[in-house]
Amino acid sequence: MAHRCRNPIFCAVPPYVLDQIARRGSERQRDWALRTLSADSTIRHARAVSAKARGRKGPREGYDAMAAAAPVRRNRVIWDAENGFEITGLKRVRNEDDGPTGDAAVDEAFDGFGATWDFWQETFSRDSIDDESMPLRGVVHFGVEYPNAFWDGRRMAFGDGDGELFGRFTKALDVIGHELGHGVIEDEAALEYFGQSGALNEHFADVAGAMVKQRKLGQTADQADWLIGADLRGPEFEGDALRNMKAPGTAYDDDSLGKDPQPAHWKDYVRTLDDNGGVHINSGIANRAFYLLATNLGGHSWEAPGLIWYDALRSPQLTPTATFRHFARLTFRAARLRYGRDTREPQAVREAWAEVGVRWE
Amino acid sequence: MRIEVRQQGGFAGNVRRPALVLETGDCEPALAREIESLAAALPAGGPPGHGADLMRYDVLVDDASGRRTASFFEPNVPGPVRDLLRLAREAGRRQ
Repeated sequence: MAHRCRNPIFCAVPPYVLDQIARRGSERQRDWALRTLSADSTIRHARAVSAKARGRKGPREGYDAMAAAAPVRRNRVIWDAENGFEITGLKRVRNEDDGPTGDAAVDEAFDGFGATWDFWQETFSRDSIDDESMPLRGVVHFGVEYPNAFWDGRRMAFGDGDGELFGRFTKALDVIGHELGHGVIEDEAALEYFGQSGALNEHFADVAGAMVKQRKLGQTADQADWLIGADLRGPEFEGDALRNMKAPGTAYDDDSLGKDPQPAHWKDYVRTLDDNGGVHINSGIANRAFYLLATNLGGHSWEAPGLIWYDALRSPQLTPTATFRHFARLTFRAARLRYGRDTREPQAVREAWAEVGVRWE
Repeated sequence: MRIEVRQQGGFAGNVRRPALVLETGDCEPALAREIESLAAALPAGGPPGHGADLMRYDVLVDDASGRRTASFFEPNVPGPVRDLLRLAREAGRRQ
């Protein structure tokens, strides 16, 4: 049976709207609004405490409280590295109010930022990467035939690809969603980029990229391909994509690159020093857990599954060196907090993690 | 001189790229001189950069003076090292 949020309006609405529903809705609506408000206020309070502990200037309730009065607005800026390797001191080529430039990389990055900003705002009421209106900064044409995109803590940089294995990195919306996802992860949880916490960092970025793409395409979990980086493939890349969240380890099998090394189960966790301790490799385990949850619950991945994952990311109990087991337990707790102890959602979370071999009890 | 360049990390960090191995004796003399000059002056590596999906380059140089290695991380790869990486790739394509 396909899952739907009990009442979709409660899935991702600002607290002030929930407050109105709690006051004026039907008995059933009031019950759900109060439950959601309760969970949300608990998380927000805990998050504020965590933010203070992390040395932020103050809790973010300020934004939440003013959300109704101060409409948020996208703020995108694109610079052109002109095939150099500098990321600062560059020519600014497109601002928020500018029209298309005719440069595909510039316009793709700009549009991808827009779709990603919309996703975070409309789905999670999040105002940009830091929830405090941070401009989305992008550098395109980074390097020469540069086959990569990265997040450096302030901006995303996109290479044009080598033209053989990889094309332009701005072409793929899931890549843009992934890189901006790293910004959100850094802001909320600062997961260390090594080993298990690094793999969780990569996992959440893949989840973010997949959700942004699926929402743009209007796909349900059953309709989505769950591939990451499919649009990046160059003419010599032999495979479907870089990663497959549905079936980790099957994304590609290439003569020169070998076979996709991602494991799909905890028993196959790869212990390595390469790739920061296998951050892009072992993320496959958690990716499959998210896929299993999303398809089990049905509907859109950014509804219940996305909200549960987002709550877990924002939990003050998520430490920078979190393990898979630790994160899995937090997703279970987030599901119980948001949907109730004896509901379908926490049970589905437990089953998804169990199927990939991650248990916390 | 033997040079080995290994690239890892990046958005496609799960893709294992084969190491680029180059014998400058097999290169055109002018290109070999340029590569050897850059490799002889290989600086010490730097610390990992801040962020995610950053590339890492491990460079090994083996010649009469011995074997040395250094690791460099985006976005803080020194200009001469970028030149060495570029020329090594070009030479690799020609071989």
